[in-house]
Amino acid sequence: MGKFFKESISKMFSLKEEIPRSTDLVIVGGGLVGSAVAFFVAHKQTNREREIMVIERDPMYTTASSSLSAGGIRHQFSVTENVQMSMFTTKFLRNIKFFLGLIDQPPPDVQFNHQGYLFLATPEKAEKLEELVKMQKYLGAEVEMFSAEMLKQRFPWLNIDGIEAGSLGLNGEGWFDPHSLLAALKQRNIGLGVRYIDAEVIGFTKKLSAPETIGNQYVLASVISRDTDGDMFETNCHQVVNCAGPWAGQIGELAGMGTETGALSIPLPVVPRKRFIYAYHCHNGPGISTPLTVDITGTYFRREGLGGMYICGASPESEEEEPSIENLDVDYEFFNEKIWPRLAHRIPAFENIKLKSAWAGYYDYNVWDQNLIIGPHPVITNFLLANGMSGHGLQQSICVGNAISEMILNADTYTVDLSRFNFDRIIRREKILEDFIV
Amino acid sequence: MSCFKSLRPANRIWSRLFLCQTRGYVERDPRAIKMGDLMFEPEYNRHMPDDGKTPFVNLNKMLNVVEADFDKESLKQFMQRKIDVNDIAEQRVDAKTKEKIGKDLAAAYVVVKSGGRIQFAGMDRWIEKKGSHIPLPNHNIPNLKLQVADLTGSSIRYEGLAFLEGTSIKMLILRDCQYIDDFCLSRLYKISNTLEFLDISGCTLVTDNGLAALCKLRNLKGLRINDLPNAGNKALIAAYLLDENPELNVLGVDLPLDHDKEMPETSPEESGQYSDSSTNSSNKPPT
Repeated sequence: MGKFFKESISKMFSLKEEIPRSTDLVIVGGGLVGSAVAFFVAHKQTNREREIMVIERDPMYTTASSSLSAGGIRHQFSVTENVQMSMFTTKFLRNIKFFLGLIDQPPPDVQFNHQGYLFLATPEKAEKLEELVKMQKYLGAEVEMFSAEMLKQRFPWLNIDGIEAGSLGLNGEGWFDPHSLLAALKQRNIGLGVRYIDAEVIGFTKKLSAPETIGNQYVLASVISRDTDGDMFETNCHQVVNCAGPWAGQIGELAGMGTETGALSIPLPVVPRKRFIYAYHCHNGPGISTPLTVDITGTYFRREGLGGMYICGASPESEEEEPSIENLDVDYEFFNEKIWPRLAHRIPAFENIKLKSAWAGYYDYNVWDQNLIIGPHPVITNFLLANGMSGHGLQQSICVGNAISEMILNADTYTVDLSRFNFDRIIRREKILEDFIV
Repeated sequence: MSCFKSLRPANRIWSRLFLCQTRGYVERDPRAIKMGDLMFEPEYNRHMPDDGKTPFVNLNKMLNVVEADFDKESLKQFMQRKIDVNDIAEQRVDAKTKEKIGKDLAAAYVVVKSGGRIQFAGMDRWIEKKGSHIPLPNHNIPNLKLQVADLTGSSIRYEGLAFLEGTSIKMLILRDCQYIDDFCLSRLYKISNTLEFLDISGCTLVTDNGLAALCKLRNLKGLRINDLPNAGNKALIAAYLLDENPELNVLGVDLPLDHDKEMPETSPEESGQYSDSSTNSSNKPPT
């Protein structure tokens, strides 16, 4: 009797759960942005009126940019909305117990290090930096300018050769563990009734929503996905949000962007770009107050843990030097030739280091202007975009999730007004450029 | 009563809950419904005169609903949220008051109102709340500097710590404050120029990263960190803080007498998760 019972129970649990035939909101991509969108919609809506489905093809997040990120969060940007978005994320993390805490359990711990970011400036750029710091302070960011002498006093490990000034984040900036945040979001989402589906989106079906005579307008009627066993499913939906990160361009193409004439002929300009992070050990390295320091060359480093480990990285200087995106293999020559000499010049203690490990991840790189693209597509009216954060996805994910939820739930109020970042600017060939790209 | 039929359907849930023990609502409002410790109070329409009767509209509003699960845990969460919002509102000082009485006195008000006690520079007696009376002047006194703030056991929060801005506090005691966490410790940078002594014993929400954030207090001379159950590596972090600030005196941890020289001579890779930043005992490493 007992053996029969056990067998039938195990048979029940081995039955595959089918992907639902219809749902209200489909979110393509279950990383930080997708989970944040799902969370805010589920958290704010009344009585679970919308069924939310998150489709993620990499459920263990092995190649997800969310997990491979360096984890930094800063308020020092030159575009005002970028500052506000990061400040929103800091506020969210400060109140993470209220948002993502489960009852009677310890609050989720994202290991937030509060040491801030330090941007260094040459004499030519120092004045511009001071203006930007003023703008950031006006928006409420706690950032301060330091002269080179003050920097040397505060951070004796720094070589101020060629440095005129620097800006340091005093509160709310730092770095944290992105995977903890992702896990906490996913756990809370599942508790709020969001379905996470392990499948890959392979197509959409479109239908006309406005007559051909006055200009085509489409809606996405259903999502076609293929699960891990190779079976295909079609799910009817009301709205689709593109949170596919580096692969957003492909999802946009499946939805019809870049295929037909008119506004639909413009593809989503988001491509994957590979970036490396190198972890190394240094005796007598910079101490516990070390911020995430960004050199004038664009090379950055930060402390990792309490055992003398550090991580560093840099973006390539030109398009020709962009590494191949075929796989996530690491290029150690880039470290030896480009990163280490510059780090050792800026921090003399780093002349003696031991490289321990390295990994690579993809930026969701917006080739147009390296800034967020958010909002409904002008022609495919129920297709919402949340892409192209080009390396700032971690910091902006929470605010982007909130903004998308505001667009879905109540289209007339904004916490942070992101209407400037609509896809329309791509059609009108306008750029919003950010000076502080790392 | 016939008006109940047109109220919202039965599957909606109650929301407005007030703890009435300390307020005596029963005497003030006979229309309220008391269920054990909880009081359901009708919502007053402030624009209509209150003539003591219970009009149809007000009864409808009495069953003000919110979509919350009606079980013990979420009720607890709901009440906690009410307490949070209330605390944050009470610990605030608006800009007009600050301008009128000055930053130090406004800060003193916040501390004393939250149940703490303070000392001004030049005085040697504590000023604290007596019952509900706050023995502080309500006009500006020039050259009044807040020097010591003792918030032991209070419910001061991150937003409440805004009182620190513009003050020159030398000694801050945040002992057994249940809402003080890492973000609050990072916010202490505002008094880094003057703060010389800090006590954060017993603050259970503080972790290693919060202690690391104390590196911003560059003039700190004394730090007490007893009883921090969630800060597992506090001795190591204290050692790192001492590297950068040699005048600091850390109480509440077992530091080796000379932390630099007594560390074992294994290389950091072999000694496991955390290790001392230097293995040569000849000179103190510059940081």
